[in-house]
Amino acid sequence: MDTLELWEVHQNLSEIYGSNDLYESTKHSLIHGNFLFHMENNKQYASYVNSSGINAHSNKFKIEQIPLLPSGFFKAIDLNLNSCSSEQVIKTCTSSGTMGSISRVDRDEDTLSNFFSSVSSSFEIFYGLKRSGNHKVLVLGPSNEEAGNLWFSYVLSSMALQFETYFYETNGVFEYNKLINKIIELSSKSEEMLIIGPPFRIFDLSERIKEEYKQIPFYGNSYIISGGGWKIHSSRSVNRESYNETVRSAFGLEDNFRIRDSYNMVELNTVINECEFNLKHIPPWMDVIARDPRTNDILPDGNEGLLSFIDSSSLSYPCYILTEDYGVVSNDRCKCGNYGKRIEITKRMEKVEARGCALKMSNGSHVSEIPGTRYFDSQFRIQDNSYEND
Amino acid sequence: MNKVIEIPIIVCGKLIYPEDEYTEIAYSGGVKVRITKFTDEHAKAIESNREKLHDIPLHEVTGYLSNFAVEFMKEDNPIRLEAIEFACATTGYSKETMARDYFIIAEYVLHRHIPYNLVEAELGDSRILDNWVTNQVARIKAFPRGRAFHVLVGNVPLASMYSIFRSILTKNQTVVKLPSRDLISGLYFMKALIEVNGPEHPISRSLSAFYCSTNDKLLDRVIRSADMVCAWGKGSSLKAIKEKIPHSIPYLEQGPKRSFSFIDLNNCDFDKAAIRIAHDISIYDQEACFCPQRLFVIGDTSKFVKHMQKWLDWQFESLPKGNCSPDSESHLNRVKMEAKYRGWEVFENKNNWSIIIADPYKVSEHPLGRTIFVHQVNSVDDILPFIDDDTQTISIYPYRDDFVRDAANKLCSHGASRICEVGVVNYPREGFTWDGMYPLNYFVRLSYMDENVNTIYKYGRKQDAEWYMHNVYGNPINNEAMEGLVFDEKVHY
Repeated sequence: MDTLELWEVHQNLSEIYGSNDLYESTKHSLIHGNFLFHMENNKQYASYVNSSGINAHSNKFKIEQIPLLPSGFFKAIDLNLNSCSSEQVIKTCTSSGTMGSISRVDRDEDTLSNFFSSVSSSFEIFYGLKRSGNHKVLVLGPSNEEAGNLWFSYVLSSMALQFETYFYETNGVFEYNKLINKIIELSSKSEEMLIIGPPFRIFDLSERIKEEYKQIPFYGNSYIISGGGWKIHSSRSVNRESYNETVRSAFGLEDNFRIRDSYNMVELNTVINECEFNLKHIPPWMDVIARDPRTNDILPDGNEGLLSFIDSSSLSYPCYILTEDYGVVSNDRCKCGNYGKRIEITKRMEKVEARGCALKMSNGSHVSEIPGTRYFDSQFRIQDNSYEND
Repeated sequence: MNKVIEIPIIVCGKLIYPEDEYTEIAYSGGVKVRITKFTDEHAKAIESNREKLHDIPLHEVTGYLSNFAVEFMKEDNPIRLEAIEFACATTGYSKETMARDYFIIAEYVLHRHIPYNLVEAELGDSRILDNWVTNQVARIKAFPRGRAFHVLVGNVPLASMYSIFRSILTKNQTVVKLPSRDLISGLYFMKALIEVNGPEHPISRSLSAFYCSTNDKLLDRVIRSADMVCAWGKGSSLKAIKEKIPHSIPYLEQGPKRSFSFIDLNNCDFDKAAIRIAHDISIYDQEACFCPQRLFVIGDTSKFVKHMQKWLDWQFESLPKGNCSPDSESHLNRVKMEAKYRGWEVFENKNNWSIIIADPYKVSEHPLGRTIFVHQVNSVDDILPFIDDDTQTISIYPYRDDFVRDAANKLCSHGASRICEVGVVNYPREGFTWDGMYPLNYFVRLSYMDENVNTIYKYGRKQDAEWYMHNVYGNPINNEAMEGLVFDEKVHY
């Protein structure tokens, strides 16, 4: 597989989503090609596949046979997962580490390019936004430069790349008042906007608007798009219906059409977007399978399981990820008219530290200390990169 | 299985069963436990309990404990049977594991010399809880702190009961916050003590056990009314409790630790070593701090692994693995996937147990659940980089004195707390320390009573004592004004 083929898919995305046969054949072709690419370019992954007894070239090859990489692999700094040389890596993307250790994912130019293409083509399909739209984008996070390698912020800012964009987090400080003033200004000029940010910030913004202004009405084809989940704010998270209700009330919306969520993680190279029915659609270059957490066996559609993704848009590493998110997969035609799988995220896996008084390998009493300052030192205390953020 | 279990709380010795007000906790397998809701009224009753136990002689305390043991050792004891049934349904541990723990605690307190030995080992003299014991020129007596509050964890049922035992032994009031993971063991230990000895016994009236969430304000209140706090659990939980304790209140933390084993295969019988390590890996499915997570071996691992497999299977039969949560099983699968990706050898019997031959420097995560990473080393020196003061137990085999002594000096000077023989990590011998200390000291105030100044003891002649006293009174030496005022004529030696 090469990037041109995937680019063609982006060009014809609407047509592919409209035909189940085309969707399935595109998916199979892209994923099989991508799998062969990694088998050829990643010796360690190929050895892993071969030890699992899978014949990548067989006619009986099935996507679900592809050996997965648990998302935790990307936290191990010494594990080579790359299918490209270190010279080809142009960005090492990192997770925030708020839910545990920091993950690192190396991306080359093609992989990042595929990521950007997936964002823009999905915008067109799910939001009806042309690449050269007049929307003003308000990002509830830092700019691309300030985001550095932090993937989540990078994704937020990337979603806004093709538009005139304003960022409202500088040096870690979030500027609610400045943002609200901008929303008022755009609204009064009847300008369309996209507000993009993590759900806890959008929720807080909506609450503030309700409290101080009661309502700031949206104009035209504007959207509020959340991504990244509640993370460390999970203790004050609200369910989707309450979230939608608060946002609707703040922006004077009659329904949830303009309130969307997206799903991504640093290990995934595609942002999964929602249709107008708030259902997350898997694009045809990906597959998703819910698996039994005890055995990794495939669960029938409609059953809650650990989600695994096969994402063919990555060339720098095999993006075949066993996540720590539980969800439900459905595969019938969506009310929005699109074919292909959809997912609903239900919960996260419990951290292993929650069990017992046996101290796990990667964390210890150094967690609350400055690394390397304790009298007693050990391998567990010098591996700075594996520190848990507790 | 949809089963609802109703259990009481205990407030100052009274068992209060759930009526309209209860807290419900759901467990896997459709089991729900309803426990009486802990209320403001209950907290007030505990706070106002002034039951003083310091005058109860130690033999009566040990009698109180052994009365329980006599009944609890009986296999048809209804409280014991109910405790095993309920604990298995909620903790996920097998019937064999629960029965074993209840046997161990009962057998331990049955023998009345054991508590005396423990007090002697930890506080220096078995009489110190009852009498003033002479120590140099002082007389020492250990008084209870007052109200000991325990925040328990459920991974090791025996530890819950042992924490309560320490508190009773030192004549404290005992108040317990039960862990959701195991609501039963601590509660039923207290319930059995009360029912066997009668609710009017002063020790019975000093016992309380309840459950509430960790952010319940009543919990903060109980912590503030405690005279000492003993908490078990993970680091973040211990830290959160520490922040709530008023100053000057002793805080005994039983935090998470890691443990390893070390076997010299060149000097031991493989089956003898394997049955021992298999037991240490299997107990509590490795959720106890003393269970080894890594095995360092001198010698060829390939042949030894076959023996380990045999005895891990055998131990799985006699001490079956408990029910794991799906998330725990997934962690286990992920660790094995990583091992396979790295090309390490993995030996497994489904998820019943796993042996992974690994590079010690590349292991980053341990999933517990009877998983052992095996590392080949040349000597004890190769283990030292993995030792710090989070290291609790290093079990060694063969337990030859010269081999052990050398290893112990090196390992403990790097931070390890305990050296023992492989196969007995769960069974410390009398005189043992706990995480590098003697915990009973936290439960008592060591008051001291001076001898009078006439008692010279071994420090010299009367003239020397007089010379010293003249000086400390700030008077010139041999000042006649002090003559005969500080010392009586009769001097005690």
